[in-house]
Amino acid sequence: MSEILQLTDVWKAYDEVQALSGLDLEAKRGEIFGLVGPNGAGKTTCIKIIVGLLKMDKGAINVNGLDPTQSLYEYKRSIGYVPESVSLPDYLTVEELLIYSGKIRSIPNELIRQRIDTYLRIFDLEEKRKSLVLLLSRGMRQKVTMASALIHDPDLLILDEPLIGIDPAGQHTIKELFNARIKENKTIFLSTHMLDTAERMCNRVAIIHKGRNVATGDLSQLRSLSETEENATLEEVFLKLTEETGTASSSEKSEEQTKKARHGIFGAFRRTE
Amino acid sequence: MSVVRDLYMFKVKVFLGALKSSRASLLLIAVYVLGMLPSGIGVSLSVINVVKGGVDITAFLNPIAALLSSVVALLLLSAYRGYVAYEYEQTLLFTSPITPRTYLIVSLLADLTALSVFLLPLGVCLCITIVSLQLSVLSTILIVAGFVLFLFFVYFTKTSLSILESYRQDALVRIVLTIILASLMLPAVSLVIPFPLKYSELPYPSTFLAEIILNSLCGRISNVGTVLGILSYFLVSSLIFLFCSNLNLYQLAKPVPFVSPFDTSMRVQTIKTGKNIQFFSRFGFQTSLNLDSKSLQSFLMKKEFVRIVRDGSLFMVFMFYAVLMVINIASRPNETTFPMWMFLLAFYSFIVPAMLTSNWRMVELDNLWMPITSGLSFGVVAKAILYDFTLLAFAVPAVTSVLLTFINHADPIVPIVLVASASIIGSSANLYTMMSFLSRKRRATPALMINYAAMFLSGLLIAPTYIYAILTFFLGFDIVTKLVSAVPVLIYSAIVFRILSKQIEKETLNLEM
Repeated sequence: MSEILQLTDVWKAYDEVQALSGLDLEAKRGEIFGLVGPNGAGKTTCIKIIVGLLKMDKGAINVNGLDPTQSLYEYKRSIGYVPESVSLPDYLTVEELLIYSGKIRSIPNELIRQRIDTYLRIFDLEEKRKSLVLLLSRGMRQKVTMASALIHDPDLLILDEPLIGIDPAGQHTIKELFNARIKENKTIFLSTHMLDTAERMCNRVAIIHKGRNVATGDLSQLRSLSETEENATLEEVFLKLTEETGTASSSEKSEEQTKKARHGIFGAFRRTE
Repeated sequence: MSVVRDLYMFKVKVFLGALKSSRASLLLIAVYVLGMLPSGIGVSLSVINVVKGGVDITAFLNPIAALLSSVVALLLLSAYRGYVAYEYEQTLLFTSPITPRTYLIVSLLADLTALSVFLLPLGVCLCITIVSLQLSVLSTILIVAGFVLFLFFVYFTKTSLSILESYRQDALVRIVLTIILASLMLPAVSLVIPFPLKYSELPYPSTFLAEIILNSLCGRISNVGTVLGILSYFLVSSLIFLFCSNLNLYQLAKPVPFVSPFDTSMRVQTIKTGKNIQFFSRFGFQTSLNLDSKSLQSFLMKKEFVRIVRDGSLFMVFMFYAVLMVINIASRPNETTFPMWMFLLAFYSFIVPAMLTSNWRMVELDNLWMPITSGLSFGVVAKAILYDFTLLAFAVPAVTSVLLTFINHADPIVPIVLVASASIIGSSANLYTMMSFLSRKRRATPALMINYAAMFLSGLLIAPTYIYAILTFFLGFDIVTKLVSAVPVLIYSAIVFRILSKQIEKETLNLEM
């Protein structure tokens, strides 16, 4: 599997707050990659930098072989993005919103029509086709955003906390959709602080803490890295790793361990489901 | 007692916090106080002169009572909604052991504190009048007590009726309210046409207060009946208020999504925008967004136009010019005053882009992530917005100008040139200023501040057009000279537009969300 996304030594600060401190990440084609971390770890900042909503202070990004600093707009065409707090043009109907989404991505009209029909069916939104976005529930808005992010069939779908506000049936649909996409060698990159979601859905997970990648790998690799028990959950692994980095960073002991964790383990694995 | 004090302090702090957090609100309050003071002082001086001139001001009893009655009616109108409470009150106070009565008393005190800001100019004017007329202590006490009793009567009545409306939830309270409002306003008819019912002959609280004020200003002491009249209204309303405060209003109150009337937070703006969209979308579905557009640029322009229609911006622009036309027609301008109207129209032409830009920011700012992450240059989007603003800022005033010049038998060339230049420069200057603020991560800057900066820039850039218009009017150019001299003005406007649109594109590169 080749990499579709690479972040190398990415730094970002907001005034006095250092959000990312040399973040390294790699996501491969055909996998569901999870970015987990506590609140304020830098997950949303990382995603916003990848999708072009924020500029990094230092570092390098490569998306689908394109360098955003060189090709300012082209690289975004291979990305679909679902933000954490969804704000949509409330004055448009669901259909109009999806048309808008397709048009700004230069998708041919016929394809836009087809995909609108497909995604409205998949997300059970056909009845809402002519409804104003304003009148949709939070879960429905999330589904419309997801449909809008998929309208151009991106190679890399980036989702920030994707399952919040979506009902169990909707969550199931999304998981099915993700599975179908990875079979087509597309990549799902999602951030979450819900560790059970990451554990159930992701092939590989990166744990970030204080703007740095503490560890990357599948659950078994993370278990061995954190030296937790064989049947330890991602939550236990996460707590161990973030606790260790937190303590060690103050005593400057963990540099080597973090380095090892960050660069140590890559490799696909089948999901346990 | 300490609960009342603490709660009072808390409510006042919430009110002041909302006020302080918005510079626009503070500015509006300052404009209100400073604007009202001179006119209030003017009224005071007139009253003083009239009284000192020996005129019997009690003849003004009916109009003053009518004015006071309309204030009461206006405040009572809100009772139709039932009892409303701010969301934070529902979350923090209604779930606490504080009783409804304590809450209502604290609300009364806090509301009076807030009201005192608005009554400040009135207080100053009253002081000037009382001191200048050297009123006796008794007269002064009567005026102040009359005002206070009247104020409490209105507050108690309004609150009680709101609670009863929420409590009963049937037509009875509404019928009573309608009868009260009709009774309050009906005698006002006597001010326009002969009518048997007059305020001076009715035992209304507004009549009693008007009598107390006018008698006291004339140095006369009001009769006991008048004083007892207003006192009885106060006592009866207090008793009803005490009864209503025993009802469990916590379960009845409807939430208001503000923390105070001055809350201009993004959340509140979003709610207000949502209401506008719901309302105007009923009329705006004829302009739907579809795949028919020939180019991406025209698609984006259409999308922007759909927004302008559905968020009510277009309606506001139409209203703006409709009011201007009505005033113009009503004032019947002549040859001398008509040019002033044209300048006013041109001035409006760059107020409209300011309004459109503000609305765009309010509705669209949080949605910009869509075009920014799409792989489309945001410059293309900004250009579509700019073209829409310019077209709208030109079309509506241009039609208005043509109509006005037709009605007033005037030559439309200069007005059209003025409007064209003002809309081209105004739109580009406004959007450029907005993008400059946004790209410099100054998203929180109040729209009013951005508008001031944009107006300043527009004003500077439009100066040559105004010079052209002034010269045309004063030198009395013929039609050919007017047309020929309009060409450089329009070319100049186009150059400004081009430069600023390039700058807008550059600014968009630095947009961060």
